[in-house]
Amino acid sequence: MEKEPVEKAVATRLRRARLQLGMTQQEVAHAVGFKNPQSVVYIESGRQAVKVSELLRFARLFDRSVDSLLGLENDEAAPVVLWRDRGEAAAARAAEAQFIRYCRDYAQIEELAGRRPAPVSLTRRAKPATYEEADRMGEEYSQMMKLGSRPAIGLLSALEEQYGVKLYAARLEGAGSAASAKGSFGAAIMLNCMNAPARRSYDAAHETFHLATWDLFPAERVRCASGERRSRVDTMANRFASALLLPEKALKAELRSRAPVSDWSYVDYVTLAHEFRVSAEAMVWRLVVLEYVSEADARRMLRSPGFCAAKQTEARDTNEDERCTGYSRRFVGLAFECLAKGRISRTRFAELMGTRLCDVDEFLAGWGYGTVEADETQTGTA
Amino acid sequence: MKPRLVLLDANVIIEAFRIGVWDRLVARVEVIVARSVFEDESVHWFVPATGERKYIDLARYASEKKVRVVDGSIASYAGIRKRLPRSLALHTGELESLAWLTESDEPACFCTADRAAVRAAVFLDLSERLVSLEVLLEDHAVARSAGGKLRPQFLERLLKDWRTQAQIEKLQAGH
Repeated sequence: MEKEPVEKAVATRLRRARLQLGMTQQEVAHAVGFKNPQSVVYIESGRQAVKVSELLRFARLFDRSVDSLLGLENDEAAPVVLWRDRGEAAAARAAEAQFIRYCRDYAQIEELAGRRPAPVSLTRRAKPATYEEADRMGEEYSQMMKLGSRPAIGLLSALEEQYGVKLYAARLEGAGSAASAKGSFGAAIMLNCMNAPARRSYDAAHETFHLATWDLFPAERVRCASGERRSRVDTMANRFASALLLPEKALKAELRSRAPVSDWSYVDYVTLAHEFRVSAEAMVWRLVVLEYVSEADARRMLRSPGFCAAKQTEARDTNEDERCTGYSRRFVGLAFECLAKGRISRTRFAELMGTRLCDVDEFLAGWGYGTVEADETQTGTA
Repeated sequence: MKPRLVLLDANVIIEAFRIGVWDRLVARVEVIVARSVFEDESVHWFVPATGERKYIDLARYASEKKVRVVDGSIASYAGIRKRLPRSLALHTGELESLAWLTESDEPACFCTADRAAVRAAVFLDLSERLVSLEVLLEDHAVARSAGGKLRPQFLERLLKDWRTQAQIEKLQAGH
C-alpha cells in the first residue's frame, strides 16, 4: 500500500533535483552509471522502481542525502557562500559543495554527540560605516573573544569551541582564498590548507567579520572575484582582521621593547610578524594604520626584492597541524566519541572521514585516538 | 539448502579474510550482501603477518554464486529509517541490509560487529536473528587457522553486552 506513494514521491524529487542542476536525463544516466540511458526516463516517470543503491548514486551526484531524496528531511535551500577572491567557477563550485557537505555532516555529528554549541553569537547589530569603525570593531572582538596579546594563536579554537563556527580546511588551489557560509548548520569558515598558518589566521579573522556582519551587508556588496577591485566591505574586513590579530595595545607594548621603526630593516618587520603569527604584509599594513609607517613607504617596501627575500623566512609553523584532511580536530573528536558510544557505525564513520573501512583504525591513530573498543574496557562492560 | 546469512557491512568480510576463514565460510553458508554494500566500497584487508593490503574481489564471489547480492526496496528503507532514533547514524548499505531483512520472506540471520548496527537491530526488533562471527564460525564448524584470533568486536561476549545495553535503552525510550 505504502510502496507506490514513496516511489512516486522519490521519482518527483529526482526529477526536480536533476532540473535544478540543469542536467539532461542522458547526462544523469551516464553519471549514475546506467547502461540503458532510458533508465532515468523510466525512473522519473515512475515506470521503473529505483533501487536503494541507485538512490545512493543519485544522492551523490545531486549532492544531497538519501534521506532528503526520500523526503525524510527537509531539502534546505542552498546556503549562501561568500568567497574571498573567488577563482575558477568549476573549482569554486566543487569546493563549495564539499564545504557545505562537511558543514551538514558536522552538524549531524554534533547532534549525535549531543554537543550542539552554546548559542554564543558573533553577530553584530550595527554595521561599521568607516574603516576606523572596522578597526575598532576588530579590537573589540579581540577582547570579546578573550584572545590575549597574541590573538592568532587562539583564534581558530575560540571560533570553533566558543562560538560554534565550523572550520574546514581544504586544498582550494584555484577555487579562491577562503569562504564563509551560514545555514541550518550554523556559521562556517573554509580556509585554504595550502596557505601558511599566519595566512590562515588572517583569513579566519577576515571571514569572522563577514559572519559578524552577515545580515548587515547584502552579499553582492561584499564579494569580488579574484583580480577584481576589492569591495569596500572586503577592505573593512581586512581592517577588522588586522585589528583583531594585532591589537593596538599589545602591538605598541611590543614596539616599545624594540628599536624605533624608522631604524628597522626588512627583517625586523618579518620577525615582529612572526611574533604575532601574522604575515609580514599584514604587519606592515597594520603599522600603516597605526601611523608608524607611511602608506607610500609600505607600498615601496612590499614591492622591494629585499623585503620579498626576508619574507621567505616565513616558514610554516611546525607546531601547527599540518594534515590537510579538511576536518577540524573537534569534528574528528566528536565523530570518534559517537563511534565509541555506538551512535554512528564504523562504515558511516569511514564515509564521513573519506577513508576506507579497513583504514579506520589507522586514521584514528593518526589523530591520536585508540581502538573504539577501549570505551567498553573503561566502562567495565567488556 | 545452506543457511542464509546477511552481512550488514564489510567489517565481517574483512575479519573473515584476516583470520583466513572466508572461503570456508561461503562454502558453508549462503552469504547475502545488500547491493549498496557490494557496490559502494572497494574492500581491502591487511595480511596480519606482513601488513600487506589486499583487495577483496567481491564481484568474483558474486559471479561464482558464493555471495548473493540483494536489493532492499526504498519503501522498506524509508520505513526502517523512520523507526530508528535520530541518535543513530548508519551507512546506506547497512540500512539497506536491514530493510531487506525486514521485508524478505526468506529466513536469514545476520552478522555485524558494529555497536551502532546492533542498536539499530534492537530498535527494529531484529536482534533475535543477530549472530556474532564467533558463534557463526562455531555453529557451522568453520575451523580457524592457527593464530586466527578474532578481535573483540567479533566475539559473542561483546555483542551480548551491546545488545543488552540497546535493549535497556529501547525500554527507557519507551519503544
